[in-house]
Amino acid sequence: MTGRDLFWLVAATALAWLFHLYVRLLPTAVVAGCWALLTGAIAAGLFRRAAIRRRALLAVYVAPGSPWQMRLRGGILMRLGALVPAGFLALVLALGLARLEPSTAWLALAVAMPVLVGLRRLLHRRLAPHVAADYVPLLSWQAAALATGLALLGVLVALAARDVYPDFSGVSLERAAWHMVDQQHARSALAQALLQGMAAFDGLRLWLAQQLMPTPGTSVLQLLGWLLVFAEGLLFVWSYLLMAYGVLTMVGTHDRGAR
Amino acid sequence: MTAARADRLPAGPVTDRLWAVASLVVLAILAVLVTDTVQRNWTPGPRINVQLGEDHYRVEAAEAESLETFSRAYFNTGSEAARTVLQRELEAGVADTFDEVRARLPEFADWYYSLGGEYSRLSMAALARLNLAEDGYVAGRVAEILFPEPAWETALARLSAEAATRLQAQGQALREGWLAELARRLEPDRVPAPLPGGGSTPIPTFRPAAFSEALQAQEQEIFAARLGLSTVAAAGVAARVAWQSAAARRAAVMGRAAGGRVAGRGIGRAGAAAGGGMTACAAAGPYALGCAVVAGAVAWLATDWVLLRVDEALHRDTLLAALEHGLAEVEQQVQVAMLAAHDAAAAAYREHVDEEIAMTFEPLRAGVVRP
Repeated sequence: MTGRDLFWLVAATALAWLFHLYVRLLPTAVVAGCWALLTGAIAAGLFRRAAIRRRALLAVYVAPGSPWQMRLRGGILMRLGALVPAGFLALVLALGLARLEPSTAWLALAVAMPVLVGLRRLLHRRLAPHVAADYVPLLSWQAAALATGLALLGVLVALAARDVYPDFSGVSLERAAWHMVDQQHARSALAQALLQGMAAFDGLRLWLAQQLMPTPGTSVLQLLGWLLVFAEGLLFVWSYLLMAYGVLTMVGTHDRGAR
Repeated sequence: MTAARADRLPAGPVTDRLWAVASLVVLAILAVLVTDTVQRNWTPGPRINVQLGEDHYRVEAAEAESLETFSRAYFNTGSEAARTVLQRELEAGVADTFDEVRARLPEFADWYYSLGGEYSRLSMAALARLNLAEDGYVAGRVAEILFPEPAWETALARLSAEAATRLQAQGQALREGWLAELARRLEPDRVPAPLPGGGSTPIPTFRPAAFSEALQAQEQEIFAARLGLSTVAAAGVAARVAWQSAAARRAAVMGRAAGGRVAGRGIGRAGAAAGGGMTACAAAGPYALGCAVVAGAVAWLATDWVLLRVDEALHRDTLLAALEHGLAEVEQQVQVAMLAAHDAAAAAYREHVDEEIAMTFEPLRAGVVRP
């Protein structure tokens, strides 16, 4: 079912792009709805992953006929355990999608989907003879997601390096952060507050980069600055791939893998 | 889910290929859209930049109207309050000036009840009757003694100058208060200053400091031109008004007594001169006539002096009271005239403020930057 997986992932990317396109015009209720949808998708993926791991654990440690097989298979607690990080990651993802400006980055996100699906298919075939059948879909996904995610991260960091930023070399930190915050507008007060918070963080990062890193390539702080960019990108890419995993889980094609 | 179960799925490779083709079509469409479409931005509406000193604010264009209303109301209310203060100060200043005039009233009364004053009044009245002199000799003396030049005009000029200075100070206080209140109201709309070297802001910008400077530039001219000396404050006019009012009141108070006193004084003088001259020079022989003339003149003067002293003793207070009344009337007229001049200046100032507000805010509301 590679084609179907691909379709749903491309559709999810298209929806994410529509969210990016109109997020500043959406009312708070719709923004919150989008966040809930992302949370649901990510939570579904996280829950599925946790359930597979739990199943593997139970298969090893608990007798097949024991009632503990049922009790420990994963219920409300596991769902809540997935929901909490999913809410946070969905927030990161929503903000990242809303702020992902260059069209090249969106092309990269879109192209990453067929790459991910194709890679997973390939890995599935290669891993199938060596890995337990129940674990192959998850492992093949994780390996494909890791490779795709790293490539995607590289593209995003490269795009960030090529981007043009305002000159904060002659202004105070407050003014720099304020300037970045002032550029963010949205109909939804909640969305605006979140976007402004992220913009303030950008202002801090850029100001630090321009004030404390006068000699590119020689400063440890410069490395830290880029690590911040890297970490932000990593969190975004990770959330995005988790969302993709959750989408496949929700539409029900996931665990069939790609044969 | 096992590989065997998945292999049993009826979809098969054909369906899978169809999904893949559909995905690639969607992907291609998405790629085109992503390349050509930019994020839809939301702005709350047309904005106006406001710059107060180093601080920058951004308000909605609709808010420009409320700023305009506030500015008009602030300057109108401020002008009214300033008028109340200025009226009180103006009245006190005029009262002080007239106190100095009142202090010279005894000097005038001394002249009035002196022989020189008496004879000069009689002489000028007789000459006026023969059309050899103009009427209003006493009023002239009132002007000379009570409103001496240049002290009187200097005092009034000082009053006018002080009023103009006060108006300018009030104008400045109004402008500063307006700027402070404006800053307070705009505080929630404060935005960062544009980055150095950044492009100019393409939205209309209102600079209240420039507006305030435009107001200040015209203030001095308006106040100096409108607060000149009033006609009634001129010494001659003031003296005439004061004396006419005093004479009318004196006549009303004294009635026939005044006429009787003058007539009695004339009869007394004539009788005393004739009797005194003949009696004193009867034994002078050939020099009796000359002696009689001298003695008569002395007796005339002595009688006049005595009668004047009597008149003064009887009516000096009445004369002073009448003059006080006349001065009060002039004082009131001067106050009214100066207040009217202030009102004219304040009205011209308000008109100027209204014009400046209209010139400033109308283009802002229309979204046009004022050059």
